Amino acid sequence: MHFIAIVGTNTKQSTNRQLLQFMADHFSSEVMIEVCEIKDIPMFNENKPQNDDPIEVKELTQKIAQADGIIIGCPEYTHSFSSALKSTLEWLSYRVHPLAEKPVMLVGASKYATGASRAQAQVREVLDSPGVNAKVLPGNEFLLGNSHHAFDSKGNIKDKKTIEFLEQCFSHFLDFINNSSAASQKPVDIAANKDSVKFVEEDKSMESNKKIRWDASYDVVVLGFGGAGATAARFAADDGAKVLLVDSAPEGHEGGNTRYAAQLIGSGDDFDGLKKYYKNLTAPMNLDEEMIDTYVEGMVGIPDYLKKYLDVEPVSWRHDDFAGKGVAASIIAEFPEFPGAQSHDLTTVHEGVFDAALWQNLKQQVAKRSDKIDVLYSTPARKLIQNPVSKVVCGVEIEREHVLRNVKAKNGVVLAMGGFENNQQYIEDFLGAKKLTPLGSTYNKGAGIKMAQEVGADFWHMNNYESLGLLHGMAFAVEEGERGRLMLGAQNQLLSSGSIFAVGDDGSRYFNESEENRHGHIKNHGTWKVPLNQQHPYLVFDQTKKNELDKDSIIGKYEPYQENLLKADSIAQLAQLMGVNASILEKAMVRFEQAAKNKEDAEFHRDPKTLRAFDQGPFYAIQMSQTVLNTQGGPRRNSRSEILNPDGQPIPHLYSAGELGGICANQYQGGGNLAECLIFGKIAGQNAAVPKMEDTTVAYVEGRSERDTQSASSFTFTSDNKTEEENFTTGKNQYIGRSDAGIGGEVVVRLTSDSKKNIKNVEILKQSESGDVGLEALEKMPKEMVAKNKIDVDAVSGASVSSKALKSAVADALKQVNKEG
Amino acid sequence: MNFVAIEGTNADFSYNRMLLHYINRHFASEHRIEVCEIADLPAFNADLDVNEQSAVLALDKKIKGADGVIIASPEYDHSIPAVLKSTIEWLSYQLNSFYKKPVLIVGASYGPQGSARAQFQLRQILSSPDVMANVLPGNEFLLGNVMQQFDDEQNLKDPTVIGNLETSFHDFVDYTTTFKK
Repeated sequence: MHFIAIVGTNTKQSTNRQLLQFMADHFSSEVMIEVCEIKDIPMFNENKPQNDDPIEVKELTQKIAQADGIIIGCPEYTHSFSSALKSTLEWLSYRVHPLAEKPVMLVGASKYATGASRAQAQVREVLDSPGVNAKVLPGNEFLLGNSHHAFDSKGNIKDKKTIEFLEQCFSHFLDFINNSSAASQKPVDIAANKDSVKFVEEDKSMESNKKIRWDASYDVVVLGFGGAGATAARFAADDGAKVLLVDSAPEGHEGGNTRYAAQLIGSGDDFDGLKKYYKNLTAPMNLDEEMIDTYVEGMVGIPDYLKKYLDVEPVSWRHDDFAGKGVAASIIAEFPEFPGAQSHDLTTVHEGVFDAALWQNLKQQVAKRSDKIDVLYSTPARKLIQNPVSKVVCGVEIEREHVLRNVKAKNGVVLAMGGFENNQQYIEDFLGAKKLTPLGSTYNKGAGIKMAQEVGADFWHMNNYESLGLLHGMAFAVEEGERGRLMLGAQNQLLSSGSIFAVGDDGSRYFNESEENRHGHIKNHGTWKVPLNQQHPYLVFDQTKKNELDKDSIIGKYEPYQENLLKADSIAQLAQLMGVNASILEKAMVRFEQAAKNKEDAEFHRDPKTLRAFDQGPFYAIQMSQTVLNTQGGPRRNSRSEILNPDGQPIPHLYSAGELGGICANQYQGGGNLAECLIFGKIAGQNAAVPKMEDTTVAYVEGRSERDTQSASSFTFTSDNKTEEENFTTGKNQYIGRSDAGIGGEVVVRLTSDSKKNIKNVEILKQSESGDVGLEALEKMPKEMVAKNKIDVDAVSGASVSSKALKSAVADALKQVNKEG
Repeated sequence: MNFVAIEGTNADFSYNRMLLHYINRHFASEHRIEVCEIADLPAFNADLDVNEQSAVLALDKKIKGADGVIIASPEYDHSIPAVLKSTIEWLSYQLNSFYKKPVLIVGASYGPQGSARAQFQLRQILSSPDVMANVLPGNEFLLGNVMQQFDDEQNLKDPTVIGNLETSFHDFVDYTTTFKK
């Protein structure tokens, strides 16, 4: 074992120093005792700036941290210990706390008979104070009185009995160290005593928490850089907090589902009407009245919110009269038959949908506050750090470049990590489905659920999720882990009418294809529900329908459709290819033909106008897949965005916003989740920013951190949100063009022209567009621009935002060509 | 009467300093109170010659010339700050500045305890044979929750608190008077 012995005085002549040197010699066969001086440590002064602790303090801190135990030799001045020692202890309990939980033994020599007994008693008090928090060996006071006469000329203690007593005290100290460190390692005989097992286990969990070393410190940590996280971070920063915002996605792929959403924000004209509507949407379940009031109040205030906080003129899809209105009335109120439906509106930040406009605005709000918000991309959060005694969530463990880092959050942590659309296990457990195809972000893996669970959160809405797309919320089946392609409107029309029908896993029909879904919910005996998920639903159709599909500008060119299409001469053969029961599929076919002939679908009441008899073979089938737009389940929250435990009490310092345990449940009205991001994101950010009382339950120590009482964050990460522009090289006749209009942010191109200003080459230097159609646009369009020598080429369908961003970047570069000419 | 008030910390900002200046203003019509700082005193070291420490000698002179001493102490780690301890070490070692000098202890803290532990310790130290001050018995003036105690003019707000201070101070004046006789 290795000990540090501190000489508690700065004088040259000290019998305490002699005593410690004697101990070092005397016990050298058993342990190593290094005698350390404090004479060069300057007077403690709290005004000293951060990171400017004296070098002597830093060295002593280092030594203490590495030692197994500390011995303090304490003289007595004025019935008390020396100011030099007090000053040292003040340094060692201000920004650094190396003595916390460190075993300490006190010894003292004085020239009087009392042997520094009063000084020892006082040092004991100081070492016990919460700022120092050392583990002092109880009793065992070694007091060397009349110390001027205690040593012989070689520095040895003369009196044998005194030596024996010192040996006894020291051996108790060694036992004390061994016992306290063994408590957490000793194997436990479970059969012996259940209570003691519990005690040891609790002690162990405390022990592990005691070892926390902070790598960075912020006022607020927000997990998840989507709509809710961006909002929470921004409002926390506006309330004075220094914020860390982390996302698991790489730069340009952050944004969660907000980035992919239609950008429609649920809003409303009047509180009472809208409240009535929302109560009907959640019926027959009950929701907390205060939560509904908070949410509805927020929605009525959305237009003002957009003006005040996002600096835009809000556009109302119910009331504003503008050209190119692309949203059907059926989406403004998806459940028009519910009372209060006429009060619901959808608001956007400009006249456009599915263009990431809201997302870009929210992202810019974060960028504008780069002095207050540090952003880390590609940095998944792994777990919350909770004080085991007070239950305060005091920090987060994040993984940065394969290294786990502990980040302290002084005032709050906001979970805004979205749902679990890409977590297969959770989909099975909570949604009872084998497979669902995500339409939105592929980074939503339910990490927030696990983290909230670990700190004791209650959960709600776990089985709620929304779909969207064809039929009852389907897409053409794609490979596992890939995003499905969202198709609506005309494509749905094609697939839900004519000589075509859908079958479930056994080959029988299971729903009315002609009824349009409401975010994946279809009518089920009076209420709207997401249908029981089928593992491999198929659409079955004839040659006439196939010709129609081939002609469609989107479906005809869509690879998963072309590649997965099944063809057979008979229904029985087709059933074999599909892996369904042939006689059941044949029966389904017979019944469909009868319905088409009789103009009545007795089974599912499909609109007779949509029924058309099949041709004689060949027959076709294409596999579909149920989509998941987003899940709603997660930790239960209250109207202050606090996460609650199963007793309904807030878990201290923990907040949430967005789809991770959102308020939307049962019958979903579009726009609800984005409204939730803005409303509860603001509440969560502002509440998290409120300075909190210091957590006085000392159950963990801080290593590299400063003391809690200091308001400013002392050490932070370097933000990934770079403000300076990257420089790209150009050669002769080459020009850089930029556009901020991409879905994933900036698009940068390098345009090469010839002397006649013709477009010779367009290279993409930087982009973060979405992984499917967006990339297709960026690949195809530059070639076409060169071939046709013009910017205005056809946009790739389904990628209008990326196409537009590319064109505007190339136009930017071309402007410079013309200027130079 | 003539008092020296010692501000027990070297921090740039201190509510104890604010308290001493308030005491100075509040009793100015009756007494002269000089607030003294200790931030510039060197750290005590028995090996140094006290006769070369001009700042220490100046403070020694002031205390010896005063009728009594008021000490305001914050609390660091359940105890008085090292800088105050160091000052007392200087003033006791060879100088005996506090010898039979009446002393009033006051103290302010952020928490509710009002530096009670530090005051108790200071009382022990001042009563030790090396210092031998006459500390006013009982009559502790503990100013807890100090962040709420002062108004914009840095005056105490609560009449009860002011009353307590006046009682302590007048008892101290009486106490000092008995030693003058």
